[in-house]
Amino acid sequence: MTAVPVEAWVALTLASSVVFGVSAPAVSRFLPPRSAVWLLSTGSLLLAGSAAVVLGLVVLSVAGGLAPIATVGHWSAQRVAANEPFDPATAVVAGLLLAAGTLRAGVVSWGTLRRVLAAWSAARGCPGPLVVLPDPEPLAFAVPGWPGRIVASRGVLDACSPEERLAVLAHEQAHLDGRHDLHLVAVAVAAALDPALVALPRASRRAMERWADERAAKDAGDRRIVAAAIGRVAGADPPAWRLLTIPLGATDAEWRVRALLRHPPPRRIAATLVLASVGMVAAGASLVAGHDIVQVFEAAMGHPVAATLSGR
Amino acid sequence: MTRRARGALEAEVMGVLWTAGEPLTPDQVRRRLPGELAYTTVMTILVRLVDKGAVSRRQQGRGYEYEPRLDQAGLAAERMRSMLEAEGDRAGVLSRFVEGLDASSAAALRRALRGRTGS
Ligand SMILES: [Zn+2]
Repeated sequence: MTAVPVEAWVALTLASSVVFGVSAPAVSRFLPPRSAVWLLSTGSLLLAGSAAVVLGLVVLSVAGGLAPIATVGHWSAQRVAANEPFDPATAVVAGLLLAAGTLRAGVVSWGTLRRVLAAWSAARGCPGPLVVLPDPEPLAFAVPGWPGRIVASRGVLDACSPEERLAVLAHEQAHLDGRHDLHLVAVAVAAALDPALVALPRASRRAMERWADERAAKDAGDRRIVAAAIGRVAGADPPAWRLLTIPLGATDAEWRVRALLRHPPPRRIAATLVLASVGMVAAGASLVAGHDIVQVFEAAMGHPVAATLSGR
Repeated sequence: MTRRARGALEAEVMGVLWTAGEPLTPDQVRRRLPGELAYTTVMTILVRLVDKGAVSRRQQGRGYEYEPRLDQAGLAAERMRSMLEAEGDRAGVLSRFVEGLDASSAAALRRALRGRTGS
């Protein structure tokens, strides 16, 4: 038994989600983009997972005190209820949050999966690494797959100097090589499960763009070429149908250019560790909460669950 | 010029062939690529692109000339376009190189670019 009550561990787990959800987008701006992307996707999975676990524990601990469920589980309803740290109202709220999150995550996963599969199948049917669209306006993006493809318009190929063209293609290739599609899916599903992480998908996308820019700058050998290419591609007015899509925000292109005109970002080990430790705290707290709840059930079953499970 | 990713190099060679508007010899491709690439590197990439069906080659004098396979390219462009049109918000696609800008942010971007030293 721990001296700290189980409610505190549950609260700590949920609070970590909020702290990470609020601070990570801001902190990630100052991290090297590659670390930022990894931290945002692993962190969001860890925090959303931990939050779901503790909400599930709250529901379980109250539900375990109900007679019909106790009969099925072969434990004493009275003894679980006597040790019950949460009141039924809290359990109902937790249950509703969990159900809503799971439903949302299911919908997001299904939608994202469908679109990613469509992209994968389109990429598979294309020969070579570059697909050229005959459009005159500048347009370049990456279509993920195994292997992924780069799509560029005649407009972008013709408008860019050879060095700028190299930068654009290297940028898109970096999205494919870094498997940014998988990072996108991870963060989107985590944010759907845990509303505290709502700002993370955008932060992750922003960090991915910076990651690809840094890779392009390495390939081009000059950061200013990438900045110039962004300006070149952004120069023309985009057609109306492209404005319907979710824009990254204009300030992001500006921010990318400013970042490219500065020196490459430093490591920032301290900030990375602080952010990573928030995720660890949440995961650790949810484990302790889980352990405490299991002990309540152990006591109510009259014999230790852990010993039974380990076969001893 | 630092070492480039292989995938990026293949895309660059395709980019050169597309912008040329005429069939190119391996040496012409090499000279149109930024940086100093070895002839054999360009040759290897061209052969790989022919194998993938993205590029066609034809005998020209003692060597070969290369150009994008327009039949395949048209089909590929069609596939991509129909995929994009099916996906309204295009979440399956990694974001474009630069997203749509409104007039004021485009101006801010140009200001940022003018601030850079050199050219
Ligand atoms: Zn990008």
